[in-house]
Amino acid sequence: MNGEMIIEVSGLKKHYGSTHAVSDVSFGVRKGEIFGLLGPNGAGKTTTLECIEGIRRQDAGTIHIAGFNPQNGGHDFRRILGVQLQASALPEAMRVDEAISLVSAYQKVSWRKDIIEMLGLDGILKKQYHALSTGQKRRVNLALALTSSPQAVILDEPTAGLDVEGRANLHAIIRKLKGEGVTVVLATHDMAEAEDLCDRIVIIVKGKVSITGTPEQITAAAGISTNIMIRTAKGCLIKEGIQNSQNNGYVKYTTENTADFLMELLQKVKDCGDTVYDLRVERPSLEERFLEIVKGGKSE
Amino acid sequence: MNAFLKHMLIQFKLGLRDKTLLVDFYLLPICFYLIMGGVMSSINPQFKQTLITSMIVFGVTMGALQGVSAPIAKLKESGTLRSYRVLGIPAPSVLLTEVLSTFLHVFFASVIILLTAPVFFKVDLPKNIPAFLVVLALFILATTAVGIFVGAIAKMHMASMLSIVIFVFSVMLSGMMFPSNMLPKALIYAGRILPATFAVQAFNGLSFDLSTDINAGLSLVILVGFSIVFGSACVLKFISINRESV
Repeated sequence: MNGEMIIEVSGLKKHYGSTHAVSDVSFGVRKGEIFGLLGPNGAGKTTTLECIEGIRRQDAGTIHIAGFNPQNGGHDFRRILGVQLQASALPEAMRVDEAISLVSAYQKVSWRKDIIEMLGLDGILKKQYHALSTGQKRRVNLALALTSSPQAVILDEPTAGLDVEGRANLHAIIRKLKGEGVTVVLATHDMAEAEDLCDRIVIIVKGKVSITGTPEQITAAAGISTNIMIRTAKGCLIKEGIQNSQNNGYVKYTTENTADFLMELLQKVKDCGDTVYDLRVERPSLEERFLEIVKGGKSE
Repeated sequence: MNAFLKHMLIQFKLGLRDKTLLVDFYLLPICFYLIMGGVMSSINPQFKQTLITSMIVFGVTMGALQGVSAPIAKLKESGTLRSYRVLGIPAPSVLLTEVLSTFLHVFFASVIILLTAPVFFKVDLPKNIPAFLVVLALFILATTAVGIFVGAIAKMHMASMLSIVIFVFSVMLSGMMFPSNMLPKALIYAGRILPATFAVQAFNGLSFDLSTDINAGLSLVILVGFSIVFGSACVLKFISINRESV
């Protein structure tokens, strides 16, 4: 991964009537990274993506993808940017091999047997689209997005509706794509997924960029608290009612003054005559940070 | 194989796999033709004169309206059109393959009726077969254009309803089931907004050398007009759908 930008969005604005879906969004995606696009429902995430994908025209601002303007990139643009829409659809009676053939023909490329194998589509090539499971449909749509060996691929909620195994498989595929130098833009509501996969993230709230950075940078921003989870042998902290929240025998505290609080807490455990079984000191998760930002908390 | 031809082949196969389309394109028109041929030619032997025209107009109206309006509406609403767009499949190809695929299905069903009617019901073939085929082709195009336009402007359930309404009016007012000059004057004129009405006149006048209420050549020109007007409207609507996908 190098610092060269492959996707550049600057001053993006889009409104629907009197509703400003996107007020001012700017960010850049580096070549070869997995870039997360996060935001609550109605934040302008989907509109931003649609403008990047070239299926919606922005009111103001510029978008460049490997030198192309999505609005008039034409056929060549579609070959360098693969897209898996959140609600991808194909004719119900179309077979998987027909879909791949069709897209390959229009993209003027040969079948990518490596992609078919990687996505485990060998056994379902003759199946009609309506007969596929949710996970299989996702994999087919991802295969179609990757048909032209694009430089970048947009995945809009790729794991929504998938079971644990399906999600894990798709994560492995996304990591493999990164390994092959493909830039991935991942729009997701799954914070754990974003924290796990993404090199950098942008959080969009009410049509504007709230914060951009690596997951560590975002969660380590000033004013944030630390989570302390403690479990003792006799549960004295629970009994004495000194708790913030409780989960499976663990008592959770949130503090901005980690060192002093920890010393006090350990002293209390000692005073109770109890012993510590487990102690965890964690920075807040991306989900906690996200909720703080969405509720109007500090961003950058 | 050229991408468009491949698309065309796949689209044609989809028409054969979809049970609803099989009913609209083939099953219903051919079954109706067999029943009507059997029943009406016994009750009213004069019906044999217009059997081929009536049943083909029925089949084309059914197939080219019902068989295309709902699928086009579904393409829009299901997100397939958007998916095609981001995958680099051009909207004109989607539109054109839909038109051509419908044309072929409806044409084949019509040819089945044309070739079997003399055998099953002892009716005469058209006196001018080339003229018959020209009228058939133009009628299919005109009705398909109307069907695609309905699908482009309406939601799926509305598109189905609209095409049924047009179909029923076509059956009652076009002259396919009984001479339209038997209708009250107001209904005769009402029937003249339907492509089926002009198809009946063109078939009867140009292919079977029968007398017509409207000049057969003019009827042919009007069918071309339907194709151009509704075809252009479809193209404009598809351009606007493509410009701002919702």
